[in-house]
Amino acid sequence: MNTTYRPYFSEWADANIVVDSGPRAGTVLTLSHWPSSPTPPCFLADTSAESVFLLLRDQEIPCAKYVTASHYDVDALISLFAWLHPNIFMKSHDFWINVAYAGDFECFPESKTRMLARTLDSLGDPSVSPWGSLLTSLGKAEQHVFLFEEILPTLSNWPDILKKYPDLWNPGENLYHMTELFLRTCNVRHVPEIDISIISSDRLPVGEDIDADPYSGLDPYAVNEVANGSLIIMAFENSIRIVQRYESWVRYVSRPIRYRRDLSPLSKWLSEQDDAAWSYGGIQAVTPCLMPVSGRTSLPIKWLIEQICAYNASAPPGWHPNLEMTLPGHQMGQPSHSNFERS
Amino acid sequence: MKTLTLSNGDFVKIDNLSENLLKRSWSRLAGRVVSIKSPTFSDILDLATEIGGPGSFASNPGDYRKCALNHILIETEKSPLSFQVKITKPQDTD
Repeated sequence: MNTTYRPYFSEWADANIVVDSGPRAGTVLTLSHWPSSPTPPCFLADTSAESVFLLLRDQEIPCAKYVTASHYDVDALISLFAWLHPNIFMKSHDFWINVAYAGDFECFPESKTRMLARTLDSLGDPSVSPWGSLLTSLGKAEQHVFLFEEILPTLSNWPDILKKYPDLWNPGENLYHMTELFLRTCNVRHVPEIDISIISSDRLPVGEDIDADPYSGLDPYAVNEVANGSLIIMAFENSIRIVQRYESWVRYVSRPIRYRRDLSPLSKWLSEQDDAAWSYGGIQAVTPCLMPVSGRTSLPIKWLIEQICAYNASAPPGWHPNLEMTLPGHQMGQPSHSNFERS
Repeated sequence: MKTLTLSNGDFVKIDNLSENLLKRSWSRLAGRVVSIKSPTFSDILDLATEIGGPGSFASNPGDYRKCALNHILIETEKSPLSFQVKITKPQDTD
């Protein structure tokens, strides 16, 4: 049976496979690294694309008329591509999985992989996408459908995509190299027992939007590459940010990730100590950032770093990605996964 | 006491919730109850935070009444430059 893509927010009657999202009515298999996803344990992986690979490698493809994903991003796109073009995908599976990884975790050392991840990601961003005005005229769900239908048929010719859209990867790659140079002047320290990396410098990075940006205007790919921790403290002169990475939101399997702590009480307490108010995106956010609203703090940086580490060491875990799920659209009744459980 | 029905038909106990929040769809995710508005997860509310304020969490997954929520507090000791993290319930501090 040929499997075809169908929009996620459709009325579902036929058997379907869901990738990088929560299950729908009629879902016979979910392959997703989302927190609490009902992905069969034998197919759990850092990216949903790698989950699809594990199935294609080890099992017969289950019978389903449709495959779907709720949202456009690089991992969802490549997961769908793997289903629709399994031969092309399997021929270069490492490359495709790496692109999905780079897109989701904003971290990959090889430039071609990063360039493609940046380009595919930017195609979905109305502020830079060549389809920007069309995308802004559509609702969110329609945007995702448009992007999948436009990009999936051309993805196998990915070198052409890079040639066609240099403006979508060039600025990011330039910033990556500038960030690499800046990071060489910084002190990078890891505290593995609390899964924290600290990047500090007496100098501020040069660039725009330093005060408003969660990465202080630096390229997240370059920062994430030198930071091992699932939580990064970036302290440059009197500017400080604390980022909880995507690795601590999803079901990440290739290394143990320390459970996220809710930083909102710390945010409130720091606002009381500092001349500046602090803000925090919430433990439930995908990549929340704790930082002074103005970007700068009046508190001593060394002391601040000590307090942030002490809080993370003593606060209880608040986000458990492996616990059960019920997402919107998940219908009553259990999808049948029995054929895919490894005995 | 009220009950809030989750998207799978499961329910949790609550004391009260504004009409706007009751209209949203709530689901269990990563051990919490959250409401996800956007498929890209750009707008997520956390039920414990909405009911009990920042640093709240439910130790019983079926009970989100205010008196049943735990609360992470920062307790400042003698020096204003040091603290301890304390877990308590709102009823204990009222």
